Amino acid sequence: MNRLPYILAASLGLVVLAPVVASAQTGAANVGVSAEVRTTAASTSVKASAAATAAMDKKKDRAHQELQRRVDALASINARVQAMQQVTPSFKQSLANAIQTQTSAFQALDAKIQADTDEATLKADVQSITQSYRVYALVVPQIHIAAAADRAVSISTMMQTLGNKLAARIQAAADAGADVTALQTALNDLATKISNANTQAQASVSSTASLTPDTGDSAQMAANTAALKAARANLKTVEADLKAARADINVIVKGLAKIGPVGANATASSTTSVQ
Amino acid sequence: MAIKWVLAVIVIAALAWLLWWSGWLTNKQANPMLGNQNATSTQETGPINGMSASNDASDEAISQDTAAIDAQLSAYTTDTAGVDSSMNDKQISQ
Repeated sequence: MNRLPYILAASLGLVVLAPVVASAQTGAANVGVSAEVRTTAASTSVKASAAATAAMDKKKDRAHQELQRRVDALASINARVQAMQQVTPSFKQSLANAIQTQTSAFQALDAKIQADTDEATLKADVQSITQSYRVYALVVPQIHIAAAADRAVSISTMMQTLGNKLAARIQAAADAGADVTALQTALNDLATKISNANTQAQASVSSTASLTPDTGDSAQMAANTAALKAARANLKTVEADLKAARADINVIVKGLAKIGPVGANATASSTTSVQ
Repeated sequence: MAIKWVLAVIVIAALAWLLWWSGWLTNKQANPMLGNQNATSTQETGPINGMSASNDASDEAISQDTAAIDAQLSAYTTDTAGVDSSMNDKQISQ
């Protein structure tokens, strides 16, 4: 039997089928390549999206830190305002209302930022934090300065009251024949130091009361900073004056103790004032 | 919206400041030891911040008063520290 035709047919078949097989293999390879390309593209897209989300989350976290910091500072300063003694209750309430308004605004902005889903909106909201900071950076020190000055005036008042009592005791000792020269000198200095402290406390407030937020103006910012520093220096002088006044009180109290009780007992009316 | 906050805070702070300042000026205390004030027992005012009665010049009362003043002096140091921290405040970079 002549098998050549079968062999030829088979060969032809192989020849015919080879491209198909090759094509199939290439196709399979192509499919593999396409799939790999699609997978890579998808992977890259996922990675980019994840990076963008991470960046947004980081911005949101920083914004939250900044806003929460301000909320905490406002709560602290509000407590200090309520403890002020030289201002009216209605004024304290007006300050408290203003502080609460700002606190609510910060909290609302924080909530909005955390809910932002696109970069552009988030960026705009974050920029508003920076813009509002210039107001916060001025108003908070102003209120702190006012609170310190308020306490300085309270201390001065307390020292004046005590000074009256000491003046009466010195007078009583003098009437009893004691040498009160040193005590009188200390009492006079006490009066001077109290007066100076009041003047400096007043100056600290007057120099900062009319300041306005710089809203980014560098010259205004420099002027505000200088005024705040000057007020801070005034408060330091107040502290020195009050401590010197306290030292005078010590001198008087020790001097009276050395003299000892005069009259029936150590109690004296405070009707006598020292000229 | 941020600008609205800025304006609102400026207006409220300035108004509150002016009210406080005018009230403070009229409430300034005269120094009694300069002869401008006679504190009599019939005009006793309530003591503040732990002070004793204004017409009590006993040793115990004076001791109480000096302790009350010392407490306020210590609190004043805290107040000025608050001024320092607020002036040194730095915004968290965004």
